[in-house]
Amino acid sequence: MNPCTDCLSIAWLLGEVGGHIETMPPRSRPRGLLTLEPEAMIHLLGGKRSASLRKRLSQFDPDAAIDRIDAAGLKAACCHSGQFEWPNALVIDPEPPAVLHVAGDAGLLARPSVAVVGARRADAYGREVARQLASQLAAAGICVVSGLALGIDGAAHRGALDVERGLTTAVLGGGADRCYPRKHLPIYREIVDRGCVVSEMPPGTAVWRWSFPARNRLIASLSKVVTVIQAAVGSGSLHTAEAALERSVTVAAIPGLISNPLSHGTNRLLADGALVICSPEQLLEQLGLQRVARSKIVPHELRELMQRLEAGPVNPPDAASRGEAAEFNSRLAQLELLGLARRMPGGSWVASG
Amino acid sequence: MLARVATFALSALDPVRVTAEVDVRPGLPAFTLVGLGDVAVRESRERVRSALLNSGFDFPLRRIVANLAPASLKKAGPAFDAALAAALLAASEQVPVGSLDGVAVFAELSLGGELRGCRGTLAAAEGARASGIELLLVAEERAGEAALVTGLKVGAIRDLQELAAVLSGNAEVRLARPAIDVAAVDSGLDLADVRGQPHASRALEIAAAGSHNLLMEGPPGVGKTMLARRLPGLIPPLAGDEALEVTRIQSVAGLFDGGGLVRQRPFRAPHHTVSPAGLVGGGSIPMPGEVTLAHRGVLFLDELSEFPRHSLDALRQPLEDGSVTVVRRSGAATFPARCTLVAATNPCPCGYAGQGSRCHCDQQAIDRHQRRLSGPLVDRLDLLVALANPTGDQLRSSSSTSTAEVAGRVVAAHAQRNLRWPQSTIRSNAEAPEASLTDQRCLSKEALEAVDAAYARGLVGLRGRVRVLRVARTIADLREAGLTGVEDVLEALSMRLRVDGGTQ
Repeated sequence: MNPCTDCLSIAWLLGEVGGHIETMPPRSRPRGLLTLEPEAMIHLLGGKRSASLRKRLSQFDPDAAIDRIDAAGLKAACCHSGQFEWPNALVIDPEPPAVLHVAGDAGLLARPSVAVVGARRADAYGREVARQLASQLAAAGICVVSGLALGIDGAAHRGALDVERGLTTAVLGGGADRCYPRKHLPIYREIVDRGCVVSEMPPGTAVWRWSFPARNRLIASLSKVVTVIQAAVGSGSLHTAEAALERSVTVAAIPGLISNPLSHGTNRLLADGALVICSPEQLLEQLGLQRVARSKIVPHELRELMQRLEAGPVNPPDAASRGEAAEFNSRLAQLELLGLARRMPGGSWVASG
Repeated sequence: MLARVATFALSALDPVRVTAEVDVRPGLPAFTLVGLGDVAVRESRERVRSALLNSGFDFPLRRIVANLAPASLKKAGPAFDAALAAALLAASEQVPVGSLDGVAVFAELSLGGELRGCRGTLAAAEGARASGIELLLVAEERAGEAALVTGLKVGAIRDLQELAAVLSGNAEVRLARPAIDVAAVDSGLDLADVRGQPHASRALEIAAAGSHNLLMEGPPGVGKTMLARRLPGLIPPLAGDEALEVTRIQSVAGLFDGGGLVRQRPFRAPHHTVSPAGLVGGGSIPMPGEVTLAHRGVLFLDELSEFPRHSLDALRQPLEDGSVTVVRRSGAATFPARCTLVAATNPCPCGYAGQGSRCHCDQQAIDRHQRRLSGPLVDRLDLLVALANPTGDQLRSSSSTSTAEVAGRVVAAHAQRNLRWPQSTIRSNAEAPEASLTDQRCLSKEALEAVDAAYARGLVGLRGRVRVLRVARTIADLREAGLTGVEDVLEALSMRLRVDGGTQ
């Protein structure tokens, strides 16, 4: 079954007026702009193009739209009908998307999900925390939702993909067939392969500045908990947190150094009552889940080292005394071969997955 | 009257026989020197004139034409002085003309008539032997150096008077004996000085045993330079041809004091502001660069990411081929360049990545830093070792390995390699082709499976796979095992550079 014609035409219109929204001063954009009726939207944004937009809307061909979606290798659904089931969370959403376009496995939208988001210019600590947290969540069977952006988002997806059969959903601001940012093309491909990429915009739509807050509301809507790892004041991740509050989704944040601008946003969230995350286990507990201890599944002789890695990063020079260096390195390589350990820049090793 | 005597010019590191011809004719007094010489060669006229007069000889007040043949070869330096003086003495009949047959002269003159040593004396002596010269006359201070070449008589000459006396048969020539080798002097750099870095000393050991190029990554002040300086001491001292090669390079570059053969492995650490020509060699008359000066030794590049890209690019081909060819208008010169490269870098711009929360570099900055490293040169690096500041406890408790202990194992590993590949052109594991590494007689099945598992997981690329095999082979050599085992492969894997070229 295909999405209904009305919803498809709204999605089409959104793709057409993207540039108009961009030129509108953010303050004069009304709330719920994306959920306006087509006529209201054309009236508000159309300007000189209103007449032609109206004409093209009246001639809108749903089959051609479906063809475009098929050609991009996507599946689509709206709240009335579609090629996959409309996620429950969106049924009660105050600003639901007209149509969802999905590359990959749309079934993930119905799975229990946790968003892991944060700053693009995150530091090594932030990215590591995001990766670890995402790995733990994915290992426990939770789908990790994020926005494919540089920094925290990318690390979160990567962490989920580190785990065998780890699930992750990327919510994009542009078309679901377009990888943005390009740098994350390898991650994008892997997610299309093993996870789910979703967008409300029709295929081929470019990314606008307003797309990010719009995308962030979908991230919040699709998740049970929104976890903010690092965010400076005014960061887009705080939009996600705000959208989560409007939807009564739990907001959680990682405490950070008060001297680090990247922690100011997250620490402010904590001060305002967000859930404090002191460890991945704590978040899992919040979700009523148990942590999967990796050390239980590794070969006997590697167990001790794995436990040490799980307790925190291990620096080979710290860990080995004389003569043990060679053996220690071989064990680390063995764990790496099993996909359980990774080397960080600077030479320390951490548990992965 | 015309007289001629042999001498030598240097083209790159190779001697070229040059004939110094002097013709003395009646005419207005003049002294003309032709033969494509540089300023030092042209100034030779003044030195020869003063030296002759101050030594009590006649300087003929006639028309003197001197030529250095072949006239097409560019000549540099003052090493033709003594040859020109000898030919002039013969041409003005102050010594017998016939006495110059089969003789070559290679030295600079002082105004007082004393002979001075020149760089490249060893190369000149090799040239003399090759071109069938019976007697090479050089300055006393360099006679020992020239005599290192066997099968050639070398005469030590103090000044022009002695030179004339020897040529006229009035004095016996004082034949020089080879300078005594300065047995590889203890540099005083012992690996035992490095405390709390067992991983790094293990990596140095592997690098020394297999001539693997090594990248050290660590925060400022952790001892990267200290470690690199100790690598030459771990490699067996230069022997035979190698020693002669290195001595010749150092002699030509003017780094050699005229003592015995150089036994110490060279260690060169150019600053990152070095020009590409300084690194690989160049100049209108090509001179060896740092990579050649490090031949058979260690080239250390500290702060690798600070080196300009084009300098590193220039290094790539020499490291691959073991030699560097510099092409200039005057022709191409080839210098040997077989060295072990040791590079050091900070893991991120601030240097503290991986050191807890001390690093505040954002991802872009780290990516940029890693990208600078991930150039073509990283393709040539086999080993990556991370260094961290040891804790106080480690400094107190850890005992360190001594250079002697490691050097012993390295010698054994070299022996193991020679046993495996006798009469082979493979002179180190770092050069070994894939086929000889995956030979069933030297690679266990499990080890091959481990490498292929790493490849399947995307931990190494095709090139990285071969590199891991080479390093694993060296590790097996170090434990004197014929078969590369799975544990050797695992250790090699843990020290590999990452697929994307960076160190992550």
